[in-house]
Amino acid sequence: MTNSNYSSMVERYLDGDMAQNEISEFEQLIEQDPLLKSELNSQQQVIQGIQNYRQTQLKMRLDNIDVTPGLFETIASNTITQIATGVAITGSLVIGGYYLLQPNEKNQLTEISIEPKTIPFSSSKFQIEKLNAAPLVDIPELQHQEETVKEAIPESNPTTNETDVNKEAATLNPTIVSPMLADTGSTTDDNSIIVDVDNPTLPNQVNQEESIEVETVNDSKPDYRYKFSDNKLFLFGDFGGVPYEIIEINNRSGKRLFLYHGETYYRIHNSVTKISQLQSVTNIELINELNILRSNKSEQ
Amino acid sequence: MKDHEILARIGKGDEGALDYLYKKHYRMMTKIVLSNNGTEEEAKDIYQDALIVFWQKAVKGNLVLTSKISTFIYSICLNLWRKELERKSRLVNEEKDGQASQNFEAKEQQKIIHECIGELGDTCKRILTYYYFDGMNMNEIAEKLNFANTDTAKTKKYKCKKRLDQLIKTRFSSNDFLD
Repeated sequence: MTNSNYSSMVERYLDGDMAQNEISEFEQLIEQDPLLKSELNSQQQVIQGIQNYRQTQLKMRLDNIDVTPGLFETIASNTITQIATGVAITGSLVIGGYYLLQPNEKNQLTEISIEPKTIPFSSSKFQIEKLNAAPLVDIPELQHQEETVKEAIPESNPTTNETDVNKEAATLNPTIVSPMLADTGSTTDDNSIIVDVDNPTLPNQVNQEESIEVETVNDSKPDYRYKFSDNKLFLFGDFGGVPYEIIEINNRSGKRLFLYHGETYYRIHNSVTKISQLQSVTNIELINELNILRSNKSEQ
Repeated sequence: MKDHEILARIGKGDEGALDYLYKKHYRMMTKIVLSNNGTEEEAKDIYQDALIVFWQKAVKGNLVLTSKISTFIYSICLNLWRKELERKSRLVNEEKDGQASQNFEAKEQQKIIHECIGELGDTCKRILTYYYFDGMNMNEIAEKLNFANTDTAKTKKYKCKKRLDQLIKTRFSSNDFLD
C-alpha cells in the first residue's frame, strides 16, 4: 500500500466517512501495519494542531473584549439574593440626577437669588393638581422641577396664600398630566431656583436615604412582576441571568425607582404591596433622561 | 438575549454571541477560580477554555441544554479548574520522571503545525478549523463561506488539507514524524 493510500484511508477514518465494516478492517490493519499506525498518529497530531490553532484564535478574540463592568452594574444571578446598589452609589446618582434633570440650571447656580414671592401662582397650582392625582399616576420626569419649587414655598415664605390655593383646588379637574407638561416650559426660569443655594444640606439628606434591599424570585413566567414588602423589593420573573440595575432618584419630593433590564426601563412604585406587573417606561423624554443618567454614571 | 437566541446564533457560527456570553458572565465565572486559590490570569484562562468548550458543543447545533447556559458553563469552569489543580500537583512528579521532556517535544511539534497553518490562506484556515474544531459539516461550511455548493466545500477542504500536510512534511525532515 502506498503512502497516498494510507493518507486517504486514515483521512476517511478520522473524518468518520467509513462504514462500520470498513472501520473494523481498518482497526485490524492498524495493529498489523506499523506504517499505517504511524500515519494515523501523525494525522491525529495535525488535527489536534488545527484544533489548537482555532482555540488560540478564539482565545485571542476573547482577550480583546473589554470586560470592565459598569460602576453600578448589578449582576443578577439565578440563585443569589442580592442587595441593591448601595447608599453611596445611590447618593451620587441622586446628585447627578438632580442636576441632570434640570439642564437649564446647571450654569446659573451662582447667579440665582431665591425670591419665593416671585414664584408665579401656576407653580402653586401644580401642587394642588398633584394632590388630586391618583396615587399610581406615572408623573413625567419634567415635573421634578416643579416639585422642588413647590417645597420651596413653605420654607421661604410660610405666608403663601394657602387659602386661595385650596379654593382653587376644589375647582380643578384632576386629569392633570397634560397640563403639567405644558406648564414646564413657562416655569423653567422660576424653577431654576435650585434649592442647593439656600439649602446646602441637600446632599446629606440624600445620603440619609435608606438603601433598598432587592430579592429576585426566579420563575418561568414570561412577564416581570414586583411588590414591596417591609421596604424590600421583590422581583419576580425569568431574568435569565441578565444583569439588571435599580436606579433610584431621590429629591426633596420623594424617591423614584426604576428598574433597567434588557434595554428597557420599568417604573417601580414603592406603594405597591401586592404583586403587580412591571410597567415599562414609555415616556421618551424620561427614557432619554435615564439614559443620560446611566451613561453619566458609567463614565465616572 | 435569551438562551435560545444565543444557542441559535452560535449554531450559525456567530462569534458575536460568544463575545456577548464572555462579557456577560466574566465576573461570575472568574470568581470560581479566584476564590479557589487561582490567579486573575488563571481565572481568565479557565473561563475562556470553558466558554470555548461550550462553543464547540453548541456550534454543532445539537446541544440540548437541561439547564441555563450560565449553569452549564459554570460546571465546565469548575471541572476545568479541578483538572488544572490536579495537573499542577502532577507536574512535580513528571519532572522527576522525565515526562516533562516528552511534553516539550509534543509542544514543539504542535508549534510547527501552528506555523504551517499560519502559512495557509485565510479560506483554508477557516475551512479546516470550522471542520476539525467547530465540527461544521460541508453544507454549513459552504453556507458560511458563500461557496456555490457542498461539493465546492469538499474539494476545497481536501486541497487545503493536502497543502497543510505538505507544509508539515517539508518542515519535518526526520522520519519520526509524518513517515
